[in-house]
Amino acid sequence: MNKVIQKEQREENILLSLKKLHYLSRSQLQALHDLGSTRNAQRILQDMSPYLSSFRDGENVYYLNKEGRERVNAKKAFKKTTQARHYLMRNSLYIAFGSPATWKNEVKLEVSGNVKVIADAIFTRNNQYHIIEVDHTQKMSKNRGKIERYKQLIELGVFQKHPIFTWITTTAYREKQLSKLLDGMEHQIFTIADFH
Amino acid sequence: MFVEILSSAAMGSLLGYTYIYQAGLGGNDKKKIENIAKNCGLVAKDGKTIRIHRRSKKDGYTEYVFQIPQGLSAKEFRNKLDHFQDGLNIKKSVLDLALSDFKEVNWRGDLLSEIRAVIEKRQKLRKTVEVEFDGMLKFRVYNEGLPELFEYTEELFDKVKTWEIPIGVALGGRLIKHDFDKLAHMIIGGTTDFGKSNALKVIITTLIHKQPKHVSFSLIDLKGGLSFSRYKNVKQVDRVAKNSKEALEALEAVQLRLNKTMEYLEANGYEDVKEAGIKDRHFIVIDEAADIADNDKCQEILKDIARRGRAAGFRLLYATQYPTRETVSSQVKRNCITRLCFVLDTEIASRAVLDEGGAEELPLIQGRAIYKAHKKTVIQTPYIENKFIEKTIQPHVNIRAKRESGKRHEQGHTKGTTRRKHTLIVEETALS
Repeated sequence: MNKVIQKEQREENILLSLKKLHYLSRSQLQALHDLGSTRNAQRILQDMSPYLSSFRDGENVYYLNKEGRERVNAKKAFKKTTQARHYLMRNSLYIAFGSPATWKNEVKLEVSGNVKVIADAIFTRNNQYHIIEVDHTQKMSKNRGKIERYKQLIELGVFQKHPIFTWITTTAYREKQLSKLLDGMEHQIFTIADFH
Repeated sequence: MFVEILSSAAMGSLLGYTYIYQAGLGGNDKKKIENIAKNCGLVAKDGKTIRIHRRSKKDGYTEYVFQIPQGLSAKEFRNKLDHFQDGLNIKKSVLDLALSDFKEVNWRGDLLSEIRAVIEKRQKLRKTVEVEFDGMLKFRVYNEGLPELFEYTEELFDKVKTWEIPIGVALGGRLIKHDFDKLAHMIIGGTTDFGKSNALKVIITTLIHKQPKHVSFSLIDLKGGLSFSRYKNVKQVDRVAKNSKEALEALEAVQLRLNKTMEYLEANGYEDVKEAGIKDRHFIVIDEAADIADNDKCQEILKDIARRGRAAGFRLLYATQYPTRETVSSQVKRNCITRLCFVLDTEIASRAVLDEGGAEELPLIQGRAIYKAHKKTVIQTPYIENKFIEKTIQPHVNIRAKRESGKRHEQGHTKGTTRRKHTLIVEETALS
């Protein structure tokens, strides 16, 4: 009996993670929920197939199907899309930061009438904002604009402590470019290769 | 002998009246209308003519209700409106005497001057006719046309509610009101010096008086700020812009406000400000708007305000002499249903304002206009005296004069911003 309850609880947790993070790859689920070996993880996720949809992008990428959404009361539907990589990159950071409780996706930061910028994700730690930006297929000019707006926010003095920017990008070359743009701001930049 | 003169004069006038009456020229408008209809060929093929059904005297006009014979339409009568109007006013019948006028004569007074007074009183008369059809053909004969001057007085304030404006007086002394809560935007057109700016002043002054707490204005006067300068220090007035550069600044400020209101409405699921219970309304008044016609940025913002402004409580008042495609973008024009059009020279010009003719036929009287909301009404707009304006807005004038928006002001402004503490708004979005 105890085993059954544990299994149910684990399934529920996996579904809730997917509700929060939208897309998760097999290896990410493995890391988040201690699913053991790859073979064991695949078995568990196979068992959950009534609630999950998946597609392959190197490995299986899972998201909630209709049943699954109803079970955890998720409002927004997701489907197979090339944009999923953007989510996966962001989730890698979520896992790397140790699943912070204050983590929120797609948050609007605004000084009304002045600057508005939507961060890919933010969380706070020790009263300090961590701002997450994902650069998947973005144009560099877009990135530049975004950084410009963050700079304006900082200039307006809305942050008590200087926020820390964490970027994840695709190539080492882009990492260099971003590093130049972010000069003077507290930042760290990762590439996909660091996680996958 | 005195009695003799008296009685013969009385008899004479009575005889005269009978003569005129029999000649069909007398004070019987019913007979005249029938005559005119017959002479205009408004007779059915079987020889039947219009038949009187009822005549009733109302306040300021007399209503004649006729039954039209089968085979004629009310439209044919409406087309001959000029014939009826002129027929009721022909010079010969200037002696439009009714028996009731003689009843008023004081027979014991100076008879000659008394009778002359009666006749002169009638000479001033200019009858105006309106035709309406609701199964019966209704002729409304107004004893007097529109007044040539209709002065704005304090009593008018009491006759309008919340966001209403006394836009003018129509035939029969009927007050026409414009409600800015029902019909948001307005285009005012017409030749110079016939009352455009005056109409704007009427609107602004009334709103300041009626809604001092909830109204605010952005005044853009491209005549160099002359006509709006007196409102400069009124606390309801946010800005007075005098050239296209200042106009752009003002419009940008308005757009920012508009966006904020829209976001608030959207975030709370309201359809418009009325539903949200927001009482504030902002009026963007532009005089001589053609001067910013070639400024693309201004036009973009104006389009935006015209399209989205209504729901957010923003009202556009757009005054220009000749609102053609070059001066008013079609988006703005289609969003401004209400039109106020003063005299124009040609029908084409009238079409530019009203989308139909009519303004070219207005007499050359200052303040005479066509007000078109869903239907055209010829009105005399109120004339507001500057003294009256000053008296009305006096309580709302800021003692400390606002600094005019200019370069100095701008510099001070930026300095202020950097020092001021801002608050960060952190909000989840739909994708969170």
